[in-house]
Amino acid sequence: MRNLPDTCRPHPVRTRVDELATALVMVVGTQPRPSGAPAGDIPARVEGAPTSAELAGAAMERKITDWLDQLRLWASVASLLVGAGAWDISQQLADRYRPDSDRAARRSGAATVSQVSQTDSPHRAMAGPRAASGALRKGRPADSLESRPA
Amino acid sequence: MRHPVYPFRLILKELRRDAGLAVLAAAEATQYGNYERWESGATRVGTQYLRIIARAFGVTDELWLLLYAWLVDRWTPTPGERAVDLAQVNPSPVLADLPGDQFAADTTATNLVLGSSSHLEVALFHLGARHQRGTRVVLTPMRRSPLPDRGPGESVLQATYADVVVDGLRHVSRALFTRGRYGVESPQDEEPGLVPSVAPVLTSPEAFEVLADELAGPLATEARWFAGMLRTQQQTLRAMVGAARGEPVAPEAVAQFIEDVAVGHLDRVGDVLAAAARSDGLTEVDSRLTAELAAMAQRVEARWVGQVQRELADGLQRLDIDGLFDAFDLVADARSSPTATSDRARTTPD
Repeated sequence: MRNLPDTCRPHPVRTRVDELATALVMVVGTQPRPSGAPAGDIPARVEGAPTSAELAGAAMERKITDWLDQLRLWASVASLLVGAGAWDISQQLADRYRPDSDRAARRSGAATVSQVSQTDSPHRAMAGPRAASGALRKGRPADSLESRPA
Repeated sequence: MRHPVYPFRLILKELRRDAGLAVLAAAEATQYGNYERWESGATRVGTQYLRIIARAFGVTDELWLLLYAWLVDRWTPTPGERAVDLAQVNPSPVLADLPGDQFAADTTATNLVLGSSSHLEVALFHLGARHQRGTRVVLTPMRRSPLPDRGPGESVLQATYADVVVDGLRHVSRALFTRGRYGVESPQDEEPGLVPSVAPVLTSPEAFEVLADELAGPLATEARWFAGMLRTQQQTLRAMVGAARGEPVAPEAVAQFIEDVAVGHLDRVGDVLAAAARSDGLTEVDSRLTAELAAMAQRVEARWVGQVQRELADGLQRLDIDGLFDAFDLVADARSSPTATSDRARTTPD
């Protein structure tokens, strides 16, 4: 019980009301039908399709929800794209940093990390975004651990 | 895969030679009269000398690699010793003394996520990326390896440890992908571990354009489309944020809004949307765009998962996004508790 969220815990008052309601149904159910009353006049089921569409503010709520859904997708797609891109770039780099058996290939003129960092994909890929993000974030403090709460 | 660990003293010796300095000159340049004791292994290099060494030997741009080389040699146990869990040894005192020089943004692949971090943070990030075990950073006993051969123009730091950027990138990749796949939302009062330094990339059309330039095939197409979408939607968002505030807003306000989206602070985003709606400034969402984004998410995910599953036998279920930036947390801890108790590394004489 302790691990249940509050919404799952039996509410003491509600529980009491439920007990009373159950008792009432039992009492009513045991009352003799008025003479002449047809049997089976209580519907077996209540049909209905509750909707909030007609409630005040429903349209606004739907708009906000739709926007939140879309923006959440933006963020997901952005993460997925950069994640996948980082993986592709890591693959390119991993090919260059094979263990010693392949170092001969590097010695023979393949790019070193210095060259990579100066001219090749990871650096070039991110120099733009950094500059761009710097422009976007003009006037805002740079993100760094110094600004993070301990 | 086990990665070799090299004696820092040998790296130091190579750095000195590359700088064209004799031992005596190095002693003068590093302001340490017994310099030769560092190279012989009689004395370990103290934290306070690492910045000086980087300057003396002309490797300030690679300070993070120098720190990495020092840290990994310092903390990795030798055969017969117990594995070192950095969370257990309390590395704070050592970290607090290490140079916190700011990492120049345009030097390595780590710009992907570490643009405005310090060299120390970059070094720790990579240490964590390479040695993460679940939510911990564990260094297992390793015999020290002789230095590898070097290619033309390759520095000793590059030859020894530059490949750690692959670990870093893959770490970031897995973290972002897990986030994109399983949910981006971060409660407002929680500091999202990954995002502060990633957010500028995630919110910038230019980032996706450059990424598209670097990639090939379908992923490049997706990245380019996403860049265009970000651009065209900025006007819509600017109007929306303006409506929420009741006045025209500067681009920075829109950038902040998009960053909240990217970081996953959807409660803040929801507040803006609600305020815009109250002032009748919330337009209908473009449902076709929503559908296209959903389809793109599925395509990118399917492609990436297929690629990774081919390479990683242990799959995605072991990923623990909460533990990804433990190394960064160590830095934060170091700053918040500079008087923390001694650790294993500290007891070793400098």
